[in-house]
Amino acid sequence: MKSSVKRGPTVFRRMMSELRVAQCVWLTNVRAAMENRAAFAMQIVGMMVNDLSFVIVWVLFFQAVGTVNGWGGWESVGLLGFGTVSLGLAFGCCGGTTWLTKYVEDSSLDNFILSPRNVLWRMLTSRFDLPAFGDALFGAILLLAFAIKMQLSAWSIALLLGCILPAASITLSMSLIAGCVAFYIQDAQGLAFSLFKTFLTPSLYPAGLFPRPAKMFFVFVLPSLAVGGFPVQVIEEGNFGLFLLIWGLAIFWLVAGIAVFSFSLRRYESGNAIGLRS
Amino acid sequence: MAAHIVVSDLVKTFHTPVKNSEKGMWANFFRPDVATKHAVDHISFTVDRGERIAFIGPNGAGKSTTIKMMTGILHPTSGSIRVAGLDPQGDRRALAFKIGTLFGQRSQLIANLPVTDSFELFGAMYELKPSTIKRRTRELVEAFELEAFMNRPVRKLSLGERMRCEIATSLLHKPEIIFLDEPTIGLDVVAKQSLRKVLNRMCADEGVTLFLTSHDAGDIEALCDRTIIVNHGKIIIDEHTDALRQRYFTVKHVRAELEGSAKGFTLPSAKNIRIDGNTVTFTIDTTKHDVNTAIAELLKSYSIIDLDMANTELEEIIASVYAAHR
Repeated sequence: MKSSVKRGPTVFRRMMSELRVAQCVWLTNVRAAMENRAAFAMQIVGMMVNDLSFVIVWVLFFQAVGTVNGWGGWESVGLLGFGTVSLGLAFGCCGGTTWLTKYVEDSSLDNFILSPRNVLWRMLTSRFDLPAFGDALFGAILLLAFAIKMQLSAWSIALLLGCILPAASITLSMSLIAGCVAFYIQDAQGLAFSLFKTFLTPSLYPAGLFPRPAKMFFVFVLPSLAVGGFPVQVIEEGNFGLFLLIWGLAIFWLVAGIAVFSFSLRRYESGNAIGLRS
Repeated sequence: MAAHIVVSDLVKTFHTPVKNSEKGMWANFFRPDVATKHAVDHISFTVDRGERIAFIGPNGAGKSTTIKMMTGILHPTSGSIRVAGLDPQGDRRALAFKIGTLFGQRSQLIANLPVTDSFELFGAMYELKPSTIKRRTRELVEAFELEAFMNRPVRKLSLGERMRCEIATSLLHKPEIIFLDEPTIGLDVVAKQSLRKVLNRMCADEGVTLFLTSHDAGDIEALCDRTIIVNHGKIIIDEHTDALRQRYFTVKHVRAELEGSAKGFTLPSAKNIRIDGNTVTFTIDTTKHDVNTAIAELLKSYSIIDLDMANTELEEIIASVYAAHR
């Protein structure tokens, strides 16, 4: 008891300190990105165009076939809104996760281990993924359109906002776990990307298209449906149990991601590659 | 004086899959042979506070692996390390506040932004107050002569300028110990001399313990008072740099310019004689011949216009030590 009283403020102070440093890193990243304004703007616009093509495909699909298990064009707009906004937040704030395989391969993870900070947090916040801002912006526009079209109540809007953080957290955790393969396999960038896509792709498909066994798989094995499909269901059905499930899955996978990274870090074999941090 | 670094019986082993040409492709893929490399093989040493250590050896000797274990990057297979009284793996964060590091091949600066931004970021990371960051930056800018390029993006700096900024950044939080892994790699002679000068000054002014690896004997001569030579993961020599030089200074290099032609030059104590016009160069083995006697013989036998005598370069000493322990 005595130690927990002592521990509490220390943990809080440390968290605040990590957040302050993260804020400093984020601002530095923004300044670095602004050095290449044209590339920054073009990547954002490019990603929004890419996302728009997804929306067009799904809207045209549902116009042609009508609804499938209660899913129509506007549900797909909501689904893509959640999918893109969670991707945007995850990789916008913690873009280092997409660089993890590279960090391990070229040994630039050394810089984070040598810093007086939490290695995982320092690694995650080391960069932001420029196109992610396009995702986040486009996702926000889609969710706004979805909320207006569905004439959501204040409660539904609260649920909508409450689903964004766990969805982003699940996306980040899965990307982190996929990236950790680099600690075990050489030249793992392609494999990590494929593993992450295995999780991501089903998250961008309407939940109504999945038969029950596939649904179970994409909830309890790969939590893809918790990113887009379930949040739409939570809002449409006002299903608070499903909302809690999304949060439960987010916490479980976040803890799993941290554990996998911490365990894998012990296998890190720093080499002598020559390189420049950018 | 209390030991600032204590390394005891340190071992690091790497296991890597190796292709066996006698096995088939699938057997190599699923059940590859594994090669075990003892990168660091039971090494022990201590370093006192304020000492300046050169930790040298040929490529693959285990220098960087040892430094990476001492700084908490790698976990030892066995053995123990205490750096500034801390366990580098268990107390990684606390240790980071007490050490500064530079790995010459890798940059810790932010390429697209001016150097000042990297200083600010590192200051925040080490929980320094903005006023402290400003004051310390001023000190380091002056000491490392960075004024001219502090506001230039890092990617536009020359290698020498970048290296000075890298070291200055790693000293921002006033570390007790600084680990430099190949700090002068790729630098020209002027940049090397400039870097050594400022490092010497900083070490003297701030009393930091220096642990340096380098392939450049000039770094060792200019900066380090003790030299540890490793090869195949083991320590083969650990002694004061001066003692090392004296122990291995068994050959004097002589260059004499004669009044007439040097053709047919002979001297009983001379070896490796080379003649070029009226100039002759040769060596004297000081374990077999007295130098004074040899020079007296030379002056008696020939009319000399100019005479130079030099010890063996440290670089040659190191090369001969490496060769002897191959």
